[in-house]
Amino acid sequence: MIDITKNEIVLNDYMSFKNEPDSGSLLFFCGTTRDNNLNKKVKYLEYEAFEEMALIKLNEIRKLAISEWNLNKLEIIHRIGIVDISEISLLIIASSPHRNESFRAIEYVIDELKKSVPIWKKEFYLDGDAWIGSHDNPN
Amino acid sequence: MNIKIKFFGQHKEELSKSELNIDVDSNCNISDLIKILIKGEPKFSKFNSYAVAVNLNYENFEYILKNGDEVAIIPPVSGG
Repeated sequence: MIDITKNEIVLNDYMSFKNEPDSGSLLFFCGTTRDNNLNKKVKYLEYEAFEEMALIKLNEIRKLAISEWNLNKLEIIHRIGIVDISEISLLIIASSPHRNESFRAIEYVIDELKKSVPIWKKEFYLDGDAWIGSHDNPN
Repeated sequence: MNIKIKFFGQHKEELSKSELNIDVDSNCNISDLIKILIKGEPKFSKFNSYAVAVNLNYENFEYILKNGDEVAIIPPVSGG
């Protein structure tokens, strides 16, 4: 499953299922909002996506990861809009016969997501804001 | 030819618009389009690092546009 949602990601909503019968590993990764970055106090984040294209790119990443690491399940859920401190912005769930495959797949998904998926993060501080990832940032 | 340009993130904020329609001549590539864009929107000249997608696919700056193409200017991504 791939999803881009404006709703809060609640981990418990995804933890009620049993693992795939032929899996021995079920791994959850949550990216959450940290209250600081580069010595600045962060109040909250706001994510924006080019949803139509982001879904296509996430699907490409998911298909490649499933094939490369023989996963039985791979779910990627990204939140957009305002994400408060400690809340989840990204949830990745990977199920595989052995643990190494899930660990590597999740690392791959995050690395690729940060390279090619059109989603943007803006940090809001006590004294201003800044788009992250840009060399052109005027702030 | 008519080309729709879409803006996101800091570009959208700086230009105060999320999209723009531009008329270009045939054989116009992405580099030409950017030059035309900057003439109409001089504020865009401050941005140097971005990628471009045409009809939801990343393309290079030599890509020759077709009538009706939708060009998305993609600022450096920062999801996760």
